[in-house]
Amino acid sequence: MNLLSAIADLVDDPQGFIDRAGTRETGWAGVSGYLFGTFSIFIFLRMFSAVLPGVYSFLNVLLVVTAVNFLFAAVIHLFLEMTGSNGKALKLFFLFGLTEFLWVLLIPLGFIARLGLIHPVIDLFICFFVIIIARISLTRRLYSISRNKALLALGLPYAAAAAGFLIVFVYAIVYLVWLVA
Amino acid sequence: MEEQNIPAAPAPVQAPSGNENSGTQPRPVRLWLKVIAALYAVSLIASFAVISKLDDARKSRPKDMDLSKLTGLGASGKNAVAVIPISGAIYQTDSSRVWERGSQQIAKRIASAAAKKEVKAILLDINSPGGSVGAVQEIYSAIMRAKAETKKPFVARFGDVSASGGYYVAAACDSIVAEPGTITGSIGVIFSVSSFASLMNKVGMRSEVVKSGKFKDIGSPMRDMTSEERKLLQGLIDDSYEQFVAAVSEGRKMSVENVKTLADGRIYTGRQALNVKLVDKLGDLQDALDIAGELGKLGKNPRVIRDVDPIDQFFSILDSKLNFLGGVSIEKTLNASPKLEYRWYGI
Repeated sequence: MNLLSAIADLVDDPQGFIDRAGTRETGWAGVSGYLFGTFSIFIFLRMFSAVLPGVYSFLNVLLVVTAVNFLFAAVIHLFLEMTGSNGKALKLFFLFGLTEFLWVLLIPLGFIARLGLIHPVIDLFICFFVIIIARISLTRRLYSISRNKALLALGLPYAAAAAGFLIVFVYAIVYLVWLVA
Repeated sequence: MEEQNIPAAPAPVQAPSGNENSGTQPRPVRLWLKVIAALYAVSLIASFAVISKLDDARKSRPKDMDLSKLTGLGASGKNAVAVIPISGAIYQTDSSRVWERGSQQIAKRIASAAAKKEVKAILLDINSPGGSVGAVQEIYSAIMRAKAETKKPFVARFGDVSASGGYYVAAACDSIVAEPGTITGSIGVIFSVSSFASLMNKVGMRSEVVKSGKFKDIGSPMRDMTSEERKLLQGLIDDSYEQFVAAVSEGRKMSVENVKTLADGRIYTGRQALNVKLVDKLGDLQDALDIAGELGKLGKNPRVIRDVDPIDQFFSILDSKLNFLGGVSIEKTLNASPKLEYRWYGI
């Protein structure tokens, strides 16, 4: 199965693709998605001089993207398994990779941002929002759950990360107050 | 949460796979994907052009630009005038708060600015009513040492107030620029102490002091000052006053007698100070910068390096916003010990 056919199948019939495609096919497409997605993010960031040039810089971004997705896929799978919904964690991770293809939108949006018509952060939010919608659609099909539960499962890691950040931030402020008072 | 499990849709019986369809008429989705892929490739090429242009622009920029942005007085290739603000009362601080700039910090910054190759002149932006004798003299010494070691010109610029110790510091500079309405002068020394003796008698409270010598608790607020103590303190005041007069005489190239006629503690406006030659020129910050630029052989409107430490600024803002110092200020006021000061108490 070539990449274009896999994506076309997924767009045409997501449920059929999830049921039919094996781990190998999904894996190939997912890894390609991570590569293309990260490359698009990297180019977008380079357009605004937010990251350094070079292969190592790209690999750093790739590492961050795959690590975050791996962690999020694991947490979501754990939550769904614990609440009685069955599915495959590895397939979820690769399906997340397929949604990463949507980061390619960043390149044209980046040009619009460079023209000063839109803020670059808004570009990132647009892509992020589209990716979340795609992930909800795929997760609910993979685990046979409602859209609401998929949304909850997807939101959990982000909520946990936000809560963790808030705790660390509050602790840092308290520590700072203690340090200077 | 409402659970709405949906059964997994059965695999479509006639779902065309990519391979099955590869030989037949291409589906619209695949066609669109090909169009998107082509557009993506084009936009990638365009983005490489943008990135290459940005990189070229970055390479042509001086490399030290970012560093100077971060550190204020960071390394910089272009010659400039360093501006060091001296605001508020000048004291030596024992505080652990890095953003509380005591005289040590100011002296350190003067030495650091003078040591920079690209700094050709230093402008002290003074807005201070003075402070303790030791702290003021520490800054004065730092300026004199920097001048002796580097031969770089110093210019003082007065804002609202630059009186007493503020003027002492400025006296070390090569040129003084003041606004016409600046309050300056107040050349003199002050030692003030409150006496709570009557109050303590009224409330029936007594302070017991065991001391090794009769002057050991001089300046104590718990009792009235004796005439011997007053005489001794006057001696200290007179000596510090002579030092102040000598500094002004040396810095302003005036005779000691001439300075003494002006140094009875009175304050002057900037214009009055110009008439009695306590300042060199009336003007604003830009005028002061122009003079510093000319003295540093940079011409008018020179490049300016502001001595701003981002970390100090951050803590200072945090401090003012969260008002940590509310209680500390009161505590400081209550525990203020009498000290010899070059300070004007008009503000």
